[in-house]
Amino acid sequence: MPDSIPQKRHKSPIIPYRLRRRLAPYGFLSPFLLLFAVFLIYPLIRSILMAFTQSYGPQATVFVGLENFKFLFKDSQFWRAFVNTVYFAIGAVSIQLPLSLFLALILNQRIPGRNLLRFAFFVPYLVGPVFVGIIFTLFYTPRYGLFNQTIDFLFGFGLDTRWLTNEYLVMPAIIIAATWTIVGFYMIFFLAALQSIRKELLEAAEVDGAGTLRRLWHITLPGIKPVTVFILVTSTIGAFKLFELPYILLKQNSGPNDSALTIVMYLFQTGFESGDLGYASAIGWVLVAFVVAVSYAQIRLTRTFREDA
Amino acid sequence: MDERFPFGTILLVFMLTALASGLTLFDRESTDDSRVLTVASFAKIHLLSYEPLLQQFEAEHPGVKVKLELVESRALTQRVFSSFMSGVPGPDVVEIEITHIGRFFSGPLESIGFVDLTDRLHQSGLYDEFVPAKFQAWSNRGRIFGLPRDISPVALLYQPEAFAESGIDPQSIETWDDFYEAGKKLTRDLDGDGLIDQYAIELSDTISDDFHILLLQRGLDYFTPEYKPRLEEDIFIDTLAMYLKMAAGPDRIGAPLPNLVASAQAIRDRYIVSHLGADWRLGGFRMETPALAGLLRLMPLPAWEPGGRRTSTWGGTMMGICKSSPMQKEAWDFLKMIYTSREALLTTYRYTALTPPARFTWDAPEFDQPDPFIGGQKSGRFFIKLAPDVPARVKNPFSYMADQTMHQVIVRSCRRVHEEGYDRVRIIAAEELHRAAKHIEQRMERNPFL
Repeated sequence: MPDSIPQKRHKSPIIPYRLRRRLAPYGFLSPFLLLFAVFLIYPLIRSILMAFTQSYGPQATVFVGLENFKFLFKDSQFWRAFVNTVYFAIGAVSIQLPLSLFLALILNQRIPGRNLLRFAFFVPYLVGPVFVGIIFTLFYTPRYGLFNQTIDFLFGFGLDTRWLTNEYLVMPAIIIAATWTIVGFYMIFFLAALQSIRKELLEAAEVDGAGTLRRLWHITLPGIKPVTVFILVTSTIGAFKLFELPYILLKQNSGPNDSALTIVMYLFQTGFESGDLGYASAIGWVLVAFVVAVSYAQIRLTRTFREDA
Repeated sequence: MDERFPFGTILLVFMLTALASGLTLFDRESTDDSRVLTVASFAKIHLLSYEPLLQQFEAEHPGVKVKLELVESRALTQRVFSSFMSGVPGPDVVEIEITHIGRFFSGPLESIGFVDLTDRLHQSGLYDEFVPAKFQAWSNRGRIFGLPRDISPVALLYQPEAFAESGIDPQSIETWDDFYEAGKKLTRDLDGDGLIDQYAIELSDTISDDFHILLLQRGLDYFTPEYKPRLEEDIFIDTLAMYLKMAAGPDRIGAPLPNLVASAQAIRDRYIVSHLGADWRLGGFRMETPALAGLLRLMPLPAWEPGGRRTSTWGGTMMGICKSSPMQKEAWDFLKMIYTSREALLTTYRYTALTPPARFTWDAPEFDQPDPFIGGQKSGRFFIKLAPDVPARVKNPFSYMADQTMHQVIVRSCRRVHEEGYDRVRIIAAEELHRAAKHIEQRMERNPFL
């Protein structure tokens, strides 16, 4: 093997070896960098520029400075979408996180059919929000849907409940559908985290007389904190990007009295239905700023990624 | 290999693959593609009706091949819209559904991405074959950019047995006031549990589509052709007030169908016993819910005043030519062939029940065939009689926003009627329409190009 190296050096390559070594990483990276630049960097820069313009058809675009942002802050529909999105984010995250942890704690025990149950809870995530939207449209059908039929069977009322056309029920209906979709996915993260907790710690605590709740509070929860924060941040970001589910559930509408209009739906409507791409870009960048701020606040408040944590 | 290509075999393979892919695309550009006339539609039935004509068309246009593309409606709209915005060529001929057409009329007239067909239509004499009102939705600033694929007249589909049981003779209903009085008898609690089991008419209290049909019947749309909102006109307010009386509050006579899937069951259960129905809706019922056969009948819409218009319009599709097409002449020839082919137009009718837009087909004997689905009534002839009276629709870049705003007007007004009572129904209608008009005007004022 050592003999082969000097042999190669005798030949004179087209590109000198040193230069080759320097260039090689860039060669490997170049396909990615090219695609990244074309499909991510360029659109991002373009959308920033567009946020300061107003377009009216393909050939009429004018620079309007901060007008889009000024209008956005007094646009009642944007704020309606903002409130709805925050409502969904708080509602969904505060239900999904504990529920997925609860499921993970249960399915981390040695119970019969554990693997089947894990798969059953995870599988809705695989089918995607469009399919879930269609299924839940049928579930929520007044009078004839499974949901109302079940409620009526159990409690004797609610057969005509209009989940998707009542402005006060539509967001809870979306939260229920979203929870059904995502809770199994988060459960898998929690399961992985629970399995990484050292058993000796739990056993030692048990020997010292700590009950189930104490062990959960003092060992399990601190042990899975990084995963919890990760899920908290990603689920919050996911919640702020909510689009497909209400879009399908409500047949491309924003719900009664805009009660299910989310920021991304409003962005889509503005950009692609009304053709106001500049204003849609402004909405997008305000959403980005807000999501970054919320995520940063969550990480800071939970103090997860500090070195001394 | 290492010696000749210093960055490794894998990278070489990647690069060669990329190069080969690029060459393939390049090669495709250089082939016969420029002589392919692409016709894109969201309606499979439309494309099926064009197929028998392709051989003749290609024979008359040597070297031209017609490619029919089926694309989902929203996807097609987005694709065409994106192609206009980016300047990238799209299909040559395209069908666009009326909900989406307004956005294509943004900007200066010359920047609209569809070919202006006004002069061609007049010179060819094709214009005179259509109901003039049907061009309005596809026109902007006096120029026509598309040909209507349909007329979509609206009638009332009703359940004769339910009417008879309530002692209502449909022939006696001439106006909406008559219908409202009849509706009070038709809307019933059948089992005495205090809940209404049967509503007179399908009317939504969350979206504005049904209201829009009734508004159009009065010859009014959300905008004038000059983009002026009409929401605060007295006739608009009166129409909404009447709609609210029928669709909102504790004594309403209308209710929405649960959804498309459950609608057949709800109709069979007589949850709702009459429906606003365009010709295509009857066709849809016939095709998708054969269990409803024999249950429904057709009658003209009640008029707003004695002797008034007995129909409206609902939905619609246009066929247009994209300006980016390098084959505009061939595209126009294709359109002419479609619209002058009795067979193509009647094929669409056979599949969909869409009344053909060209008058020269209206004498076809198949329109006089009894329709067993509606108890032997001649549905084809029935809709053709209504066709000349269909009202015009106005579409502009703000139509989508106006539609969304009107949905909210319906929701808020219905809720307020429930809370504040029927005595205030006109005040509620006026207040909500004023609010909506301000919203629309505020958004239109933002536009520096108007």
